[in-house]
Amino acid sequence: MTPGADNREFPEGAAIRPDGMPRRDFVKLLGASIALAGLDGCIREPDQKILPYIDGNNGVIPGVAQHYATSMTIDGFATGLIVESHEGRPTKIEGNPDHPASLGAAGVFEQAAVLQLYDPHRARRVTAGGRATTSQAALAAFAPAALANRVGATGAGLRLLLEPTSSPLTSAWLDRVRERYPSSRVYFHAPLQSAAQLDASRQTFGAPLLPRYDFTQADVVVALDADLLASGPFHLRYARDFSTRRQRPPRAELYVAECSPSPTGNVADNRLAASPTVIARLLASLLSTVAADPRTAARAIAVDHSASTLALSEAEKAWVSSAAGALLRAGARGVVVAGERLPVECHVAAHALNAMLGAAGQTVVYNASPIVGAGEPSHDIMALQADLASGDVDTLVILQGNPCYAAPGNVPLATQIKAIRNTLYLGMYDNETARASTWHIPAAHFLEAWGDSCACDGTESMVQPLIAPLYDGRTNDEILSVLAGAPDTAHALLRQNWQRRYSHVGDIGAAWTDAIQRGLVMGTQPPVTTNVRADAVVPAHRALIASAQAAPSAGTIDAVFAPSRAVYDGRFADNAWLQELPDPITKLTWDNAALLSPRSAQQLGVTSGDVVEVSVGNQSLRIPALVVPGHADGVTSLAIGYGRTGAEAIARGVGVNVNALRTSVAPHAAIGGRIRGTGDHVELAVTQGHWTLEGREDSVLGITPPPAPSDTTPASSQPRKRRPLTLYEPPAPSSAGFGADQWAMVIDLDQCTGCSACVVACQAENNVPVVGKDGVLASREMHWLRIDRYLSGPPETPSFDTQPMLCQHCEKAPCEYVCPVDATVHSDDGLNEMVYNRCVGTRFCSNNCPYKVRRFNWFDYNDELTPVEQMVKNPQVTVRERGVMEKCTFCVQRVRHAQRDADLAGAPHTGPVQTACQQTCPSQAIVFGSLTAPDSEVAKLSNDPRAFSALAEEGTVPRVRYLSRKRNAGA
Amino acid sequence: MTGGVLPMPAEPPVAPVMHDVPDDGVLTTQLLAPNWTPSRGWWPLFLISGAFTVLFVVGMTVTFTRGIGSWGNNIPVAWAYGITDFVWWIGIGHAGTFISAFLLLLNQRWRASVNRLAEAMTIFALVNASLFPILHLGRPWFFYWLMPYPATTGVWPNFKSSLPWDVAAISTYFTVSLLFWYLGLVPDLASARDQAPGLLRRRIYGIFALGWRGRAVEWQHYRVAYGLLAGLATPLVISVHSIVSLDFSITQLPGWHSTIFPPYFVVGAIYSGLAMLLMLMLPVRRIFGLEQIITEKHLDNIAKLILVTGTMLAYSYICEMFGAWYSGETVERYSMLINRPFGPYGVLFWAMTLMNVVTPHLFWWKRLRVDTVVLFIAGLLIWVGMWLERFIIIAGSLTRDFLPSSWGVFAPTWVDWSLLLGSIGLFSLLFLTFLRWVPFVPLSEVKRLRYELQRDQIAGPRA
Amino acid sequence: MSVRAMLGATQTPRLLAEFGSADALVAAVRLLEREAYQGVDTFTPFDVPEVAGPLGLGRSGLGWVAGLGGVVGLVAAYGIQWWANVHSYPLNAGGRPVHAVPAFVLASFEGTILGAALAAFFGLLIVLRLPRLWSVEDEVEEFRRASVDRFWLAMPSFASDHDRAHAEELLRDAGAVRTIVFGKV
Repeated sequence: MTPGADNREFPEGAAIRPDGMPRRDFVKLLGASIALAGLDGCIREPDQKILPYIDGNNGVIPGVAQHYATSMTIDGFATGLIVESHEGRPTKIEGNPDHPASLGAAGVFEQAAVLQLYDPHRARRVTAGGRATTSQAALAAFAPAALANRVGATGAGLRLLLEPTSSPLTSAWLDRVRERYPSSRVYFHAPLQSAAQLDASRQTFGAPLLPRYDFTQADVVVALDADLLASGPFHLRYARDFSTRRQRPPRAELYVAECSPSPTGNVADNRLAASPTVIARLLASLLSTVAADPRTAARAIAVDHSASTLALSEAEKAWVSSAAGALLRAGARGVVVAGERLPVECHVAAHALNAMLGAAGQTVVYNASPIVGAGEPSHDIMALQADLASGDVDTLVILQGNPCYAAPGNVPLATQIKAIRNTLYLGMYDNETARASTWHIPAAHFLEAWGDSCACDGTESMVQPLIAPLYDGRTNDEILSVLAGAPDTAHALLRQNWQRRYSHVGDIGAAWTDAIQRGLVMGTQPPVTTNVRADAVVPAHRALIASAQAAPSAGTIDAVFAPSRAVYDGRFADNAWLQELPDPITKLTWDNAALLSPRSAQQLGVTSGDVVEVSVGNQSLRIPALVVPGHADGVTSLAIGYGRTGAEAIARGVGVNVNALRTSVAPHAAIGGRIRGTGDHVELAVTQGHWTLEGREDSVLGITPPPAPSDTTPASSQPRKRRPLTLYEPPAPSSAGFGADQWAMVIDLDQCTGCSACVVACQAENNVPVVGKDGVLASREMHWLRIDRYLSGPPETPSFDTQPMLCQHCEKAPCEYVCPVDATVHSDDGLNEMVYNRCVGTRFCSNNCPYKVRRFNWFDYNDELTPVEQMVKNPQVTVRERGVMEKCTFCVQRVRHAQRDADLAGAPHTGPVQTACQQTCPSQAIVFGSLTAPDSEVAKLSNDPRAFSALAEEGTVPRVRYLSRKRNAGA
Repeated sequence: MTGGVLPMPAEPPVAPVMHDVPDDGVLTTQLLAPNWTPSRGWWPLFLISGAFTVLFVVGMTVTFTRGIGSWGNNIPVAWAYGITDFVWWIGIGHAGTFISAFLLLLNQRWRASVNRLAEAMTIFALVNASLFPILHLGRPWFFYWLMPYPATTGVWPNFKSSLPWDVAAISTYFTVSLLFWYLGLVPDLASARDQAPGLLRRRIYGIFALGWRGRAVEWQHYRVAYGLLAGLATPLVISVHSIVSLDFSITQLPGWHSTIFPPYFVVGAIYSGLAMLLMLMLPVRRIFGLEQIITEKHLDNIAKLILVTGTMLAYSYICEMFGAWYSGETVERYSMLINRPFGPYGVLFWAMTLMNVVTPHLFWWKRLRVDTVVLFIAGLLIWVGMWLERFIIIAGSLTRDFLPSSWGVFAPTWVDWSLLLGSIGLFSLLFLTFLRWVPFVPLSEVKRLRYELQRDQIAGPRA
Repeated sequence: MSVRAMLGATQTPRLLAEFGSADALVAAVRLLEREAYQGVDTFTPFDVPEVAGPLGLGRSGLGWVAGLGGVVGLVAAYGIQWWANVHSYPLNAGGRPVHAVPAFVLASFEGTILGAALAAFFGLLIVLRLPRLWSVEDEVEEFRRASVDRFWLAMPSFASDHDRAHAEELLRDAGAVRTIVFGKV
């Protein structure tokens, strides 16, 4: 039996539903989607005028893709995007090169957002008490005329709950609402938001400031539980900066101490697995070591010297001394980064260290948080709870978010919200909160909405719709305007607010046009100069030492709560692309698990898939364990965002909800929990089962184990031979029809963090289907580009290697000569072409592919897509039929498009072509181009001493070459 | 292996090729009788086979309507049961041609009484074998794209791939086997025509007998034609399984990529076919009381052939492993020396070794060579063992190849099983039909043999 | 009017003799050869090559036919492959030469065998003018055993009844268990 298929009513059928939706639900939704059948292919431009990205042609030209700038906001911080649109259908999201948070890259969540726009499970109707009603009725009920009677003229009974926001527009309308209802109160909540960072900077500098790093200038980076290259509001920029810096010798050193392995840890030169306690210990002794060093005397800060009494393990000592040594050597060009969700004292210590090193103002600068009411009690969930408990709340307006699901275990928000007489929820899904509310109004997806928001450096970013709301969704600002008694469309609101704020600018029209076209307002707020308060550090240091000395009592385990790299805090749980995106570290899909170090797992006597019971205080839950080499001992990492119970067909029942274990006091880490095996076992859908290379390091990763301890040169300093001996010289590449180009790709393994943004980019660009959990369990995932991850060294302290693996476009392709029908052949310009409509599906090609990058359509993965779901498909790429092979095409549609343009222009060579994976790669690890183009970078790189072909000895002569990883001497 | 080192025990002379055979008339009547009236047990067997054939049809229907996804195949294991069944069946077919063609050329008299059964087995095995390649296509409705027909697309098959070679080999093999079998049948069909009760049967057999009369001139040409087909079938049978083995050895996959495959596969094929022949011949011999013409001599000879081919196969296994080790190739070594014996299908590997390598060495002992029960069980073990061998080579090698990141295992679904069991059902169905309506012992050859033997007794045994 | 009578009208009478064993038949054939009888034919349930010489049958030419078929098959098979992959639609598959002789050998071999086998089989049918749904012998009830356990010998028509009687004499002496005058009675 296919794993997992046994307990289903329609084994095959259910297994193939990409979103795992049972047929009955599907039929139910079919009715609804028929209503939308008219959308299919037709143009749904917003009513208001939208402006394409700079010098894009205006107005839709059938067959010609258009690009628009907009922004996506997560937890209040905006990332600028460029969205590709075909006949009014947004199909692909890229980063906005002008935007400081993106620099042209887009992350996993941004890339996948387009699928959410067309999610057939989005809420479609306004409901009151569960029954359908009209939006007019709903809005009327919250217009002052009606609402004032309920909440009193001053709004004493009115409360608002939003996600943290940095939108000038929203902030303006919150003020308007407060004017209308002076005694109303506003709260903000996001499960992953941490007050620690701001509290720390208030303690240290006297103001709620956010640190902003400049890694282009950093020689030494010390990251403590900070996945700065793959998560957080600025991670795209940081990854780009860090890779830029690393391409410039001397090579920047990265020291990482983290609880659970992360993409940042993947590229670290010196990584230490560290539990929260150990992190505190490391920071404490790092602080005293640096403070004690004469080189920092000039900027000395009072610290608590009892840190020297701390008992460090050998590994910890080694890490601290080398990290401290490197930092002191680097001075102002070194920087210490404390993870967002670490406790306050850690952030203070980091600030102190950076100040002593002189990094402040150099590699780290500070600016005021753009979040409305940042650091104020309005962001404290306990305040909200107390307020709700007081009983004098009549009406609660919840704008987005999902507090009923995401609230910590000790805060009974769900029951409290249910108890409130009159609640309005604006949300995209009929989720837990929607079900607890009396009124539910569908929210607009950001690709349907007008608005604005700020990046975490304060850059004001525009949110521009590409399509008219599919389900008549509303935005926060529209609801606020209703409450304030001045209802209007988001577009009008934004325009008025713009008038008001930029009345000092001369030509507002031009500024507006420019902002909309670029997606942001140029010129960000300048950083603030900071001084560390003399009395700030010692208490923090003492606190650190205290928590560092907290000896774990026997049998207890700490639980660390982290955002899921797939579904974040659960808001993306209904996104099949993300659910099936293998975690960069564990390769787990469609699930969350209790991550354990090999030693901890051994002590517990559990292996991956064994269900364990984790309990914190009086709360406990059962969740499958997953053994992760390189994880800290005595800790388990739990990803939040799973175990959803809303109406989203994909999200429901996937994984376990761990919010119950969190408390408002320690929402991000619970110290002293308990864990035990239960004897049950479940299958975890992991896409890579084997972690070691079985002595193939050199052939696969171009390194001879152990890694060559040299600065910039890999094991072999000679460029590796591309073409092994052969009986037949390959046919000379004729340039018939294709100009003189020879396409090739180079991937720098030294830059790749494994963040997996490229995987989603490829999925979106090439209409790659999802296969569901059963499909993954049967190892039938369809990703054209996968990130392989290998471990070497002891399982406690392994070193990590990631390798993006895609079709290698071999010049002597093993897949081609075994195809009986010439369905996969070689193009004159060096592409390994897959001819879908010629393929009969013998799968011989896959058997003969040493890289196993070919994917097979085991079922018809597209036959049951609703008209709305179909809208996400890229019209430039064939949607594959059942029974045919598919694989990476080097984005042939982009290549041919560029060639057409070149031909029209009569240019001898095709202009630059970017593959989807290359375009989105935050660390620019992927370079694509023509080997024969003048001063071609790909040609230069493929002759770099570090360049090698994977499995070169197979004689396949791949057109994809890898640059082997550099290792820092001694680091 | 123990038997191997022992000296051949002194044994009583082997039974003659035939003994106590009634005269031609009685013999003919006896051998044709099953064609006139079904023998006992025929109907139950027919119905059981029918039921399994239905299972086969169900499996095919699901495969065609739902897609290959209804099988357990995946990436990396893109070939599993389907291709294993294909190679297994086509291998079984080889013994038939081997016995009827090889032994004819080698002038082995004992083939006379068993070659018809053997060839029938070949034909029916090939029917199954030719179904699976089509079944396992992702888009089976385009199977004809593998054949060089003038298509409007102007696209042709790629003859660098071994699959078009397969198409050529299997279609040729099927055609030649059918002609060879039918040509051998013609004189017996004439007997059936002349013996058949009732005009209808006379006419039907008459049509298939092509008006054969046994004229001197007919025999004169017949002899040559039959010899020619035998002479052609012999290199053909070797080429066919060599080409089948190339489906694997032209690839780069460790565990497939090996130069010893062609002889290795041919030997294995004959080995498996002989095993199945035993499983068919022994019941037939018992039920139809053919002990005088399928004597202990036949059992003894087939057992010896099994011993020989089995030993050659064991040698191939060793070569395969040695080659991998000797190559010094990390991946080759891992695949053959670690994955195969200790990987996900390690248990199957050891079971296979037991069945294929140990079993035949029972036949160092004469007593066991003629013991029908032992022979039948040995046949069964080898028959299964050879299926396992193909599965281990095909699916087992695919589970773990070059990049550890892409390793995965295969687990069969009920559809996989129904296709395997169903194909066995179809085979039995066809075979029972053959027993019921076709003279399954070559009358004219047996008579000729008898005539020769008598003449030899007069002239004294020939050298 | 009965079939036999109808034949009688069309056919000149022939003499059929039944023998109990192959040896007897062979002896009779040898005898007739010595007596220089022409157009003698035999019908046997199994191959009795010994009669071929005395009956003056030459060697079969089917070998050449099969050989020719083989050559045709070879040329056709290689030709198709060359035409398809080299001439009509050359494609770069795996960087291999478009005219890949080693790859083309195998199907060519199969083609050779197929051509030869078909030639041998259908050559046989043509040489023997088979299939033949009816022949005169079918009309002789006793003759049915010619495919079972009796060995028959047929002699062409005779100038006179006396000659035929003489021939019958000879065959009886040679051990014919039965002689039938076939055609006119």
